[in-house]
Amino acid sequence: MSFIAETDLQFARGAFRSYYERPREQIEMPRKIESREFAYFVFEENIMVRHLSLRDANSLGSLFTDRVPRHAYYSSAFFHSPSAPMERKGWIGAELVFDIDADHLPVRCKAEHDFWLCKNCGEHGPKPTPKGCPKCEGRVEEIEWLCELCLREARNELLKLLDFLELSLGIGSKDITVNFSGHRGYHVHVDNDHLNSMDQHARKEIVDYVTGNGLDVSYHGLYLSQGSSSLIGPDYSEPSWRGRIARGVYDLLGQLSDPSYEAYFSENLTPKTYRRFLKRQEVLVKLWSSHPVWGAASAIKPDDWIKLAQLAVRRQAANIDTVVTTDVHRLIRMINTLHGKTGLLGLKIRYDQVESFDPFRDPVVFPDRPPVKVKVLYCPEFRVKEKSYGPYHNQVVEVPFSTAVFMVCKGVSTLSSGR
Amino acid sequence: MCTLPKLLESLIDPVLLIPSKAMLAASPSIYLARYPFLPTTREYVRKRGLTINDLSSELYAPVLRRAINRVELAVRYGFVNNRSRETEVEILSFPLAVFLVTCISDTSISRRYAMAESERCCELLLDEPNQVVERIADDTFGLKLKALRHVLGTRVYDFCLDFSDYIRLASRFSSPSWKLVNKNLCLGQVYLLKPEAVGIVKLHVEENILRVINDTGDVSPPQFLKQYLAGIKSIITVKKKEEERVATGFLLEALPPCIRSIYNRLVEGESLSHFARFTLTSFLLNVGLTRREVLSLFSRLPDFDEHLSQYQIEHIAGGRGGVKKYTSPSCRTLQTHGLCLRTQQCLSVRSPIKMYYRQVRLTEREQA
Repeated sequence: MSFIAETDLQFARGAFRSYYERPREQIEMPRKIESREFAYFVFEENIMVRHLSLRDANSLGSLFTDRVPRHAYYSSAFFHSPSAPMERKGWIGAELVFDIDADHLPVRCKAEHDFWLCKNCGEHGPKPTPKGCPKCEGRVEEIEWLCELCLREARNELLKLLDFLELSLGIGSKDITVNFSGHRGYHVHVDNDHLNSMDQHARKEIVDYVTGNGLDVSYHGLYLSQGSSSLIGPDYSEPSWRGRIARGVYDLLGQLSDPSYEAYFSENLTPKTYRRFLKRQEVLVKLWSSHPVWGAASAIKPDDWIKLAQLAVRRQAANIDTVVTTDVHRLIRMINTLHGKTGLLGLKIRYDQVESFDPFRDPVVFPDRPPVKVKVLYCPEFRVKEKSYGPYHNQVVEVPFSTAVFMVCKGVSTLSSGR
Repeated sequence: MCTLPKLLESLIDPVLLIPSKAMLAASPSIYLARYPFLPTTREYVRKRGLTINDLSSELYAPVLRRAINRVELAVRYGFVNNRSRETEVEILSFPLAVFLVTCISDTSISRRYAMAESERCCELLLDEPNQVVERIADDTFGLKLKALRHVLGTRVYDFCLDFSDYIRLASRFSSPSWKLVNKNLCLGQVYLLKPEAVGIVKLHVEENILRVINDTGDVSPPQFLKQYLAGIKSIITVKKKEEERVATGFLLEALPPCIRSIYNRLVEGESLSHFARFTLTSFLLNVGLTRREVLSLFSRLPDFDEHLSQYQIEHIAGGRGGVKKYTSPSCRTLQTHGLCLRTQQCLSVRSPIKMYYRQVRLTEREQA
């Protein structure tokens, strides 16, 4: 992602500097700062400066005001010598980190709003991205757009993850920090001395637990009883995956007749199994309304129920980036710092406000004034705070300062000379 | 000179030396003999103030005999029997046996001994009241297994364990049933049946013994032990030769040409088709290899995925979700898939399994 012109880079850098120089603005001070590695990208170069160590809040503050990072990271790991080369850092432990990114979610809107853009003439189109602009042969770039649906899906995954962490793993909310990534997702940090020492294998077990990878429903109370061959299954109120499987199946039964799910069910259940369920949907939903009736309707075979339960597992699982959680040396965006691709703050979200968090309003930290005139090459519709903008194509518009920072950082607009 | 108390001291974490008074009061020496790695055993042996050389005396001949017997049983059969009624002998022979294994300085023997002792322990623990298992796990290893009665569905769980303690060990278990995702996990507690809880203690016992042997490093045995060590080493040599002959539990020379070809490709680390993997796995499981042995063979493959292989082997071995054990594909099926390498030896057999057993009988007859 690059700025269209040098003046755009200077505009964004200036905005970031003014934010970091505000005396009241606090970057989230990481615990055990002296044991972390820090890293950042500056605006001028696409090179990561890393293996830095900081002693205290003052040196952290100076880094931001002096260097004005476009992106700032710290290690989820704690080291004896954080500034040493990787092999000599001396790993002590690492926070348990989760990354939920809309890029990894199977959202339907992705194909509609991610696009390529010619930085010369503003020509654009859906992926796949051509090597050069078909119209003017200018430089083209892929733009990942932020949309309400993507971020709502990401938040749903976040809520599922928090449910796993609290109810299944028993991790208290005081050990959990949730923050918006500043772009297309959310990060969750679990900082607990007992858990920090877990190795990759142990973390993989947690990843498999929350993603349902390797889950066998027979270990969760869904099996054929010996002798009578009737299907025994878990109840809604049961803890852990057992209850999730039961509740997930009930949700799926309710969606069977929804035409928008037809392809989904046919693909994941086989068309025959889907038809068998669909034919009896009304009765099944009624039967299941107070408690699960596994094996109801003799025409539906036990194997069909097991397939539906397996599908429920996939739906109930939290869709996380598995690589991030198992990596015990990961650099992750610093909480409450600005994201260079959007100018939005990677805002720490209070645990009790996750559901009401608005990623298009809450992390906007720049003022509206003065308004700025920008020339937009192309951008789909978007929202900043309560106001919607676009779509725009090769036009000059005057927008609030905060909106201009977003559009310039996204690389779809350039400052208009008439500013 | 290495003293017995010192050796025992290293078997346990000094921080966790909390003598279990209730346990001792009940029937002290029985517990010490059954579980010679207990913190209380250390106290007991310390009071005796014995050195290794003291054991050369005729007075301790039964201790020496039992120590040698422990190691020999572990080497020969992978199991140490329980003689906890002879408490004094049992208590003192354990650190001496560990000393002998340390002197042998052979990783595979150390592992086999640690496994055999932990297996012995496991059998005893299964018969103990749950509170005793809880106490031993905590006092000795700091493992917070909690005995309880927890009903979930049709199952009654006997223990729970904090998930973070559980997953630190779970990667050592090969079966999918041990994966955290297949456990009942609520508010950070993993609910376990008694055999599962005891299995976790067993792993700790095994690791503990291995750690002592490894940490002790090179030791030179006193003169009076040398002849006994020589005797144990000759048993090891014979055992290893036997094992080479039967190459992980099956007779290599008796393999039919089709299976031999797949096996050779596996040993070479070549990638195998799904059907070739299925054929070899089902064949080996049917001629008596354990799931673990088959898994270790497959670990040679370049694209080895432990979890996937485990899952596939478990599936083929049967027993999960009511699935029956698969039989090895017949010669006709192998022909269909282009894996049949029929030679004159095969004559009119219809399955590689039959061919294998015929060859085994022929080989045994020739050797007789």
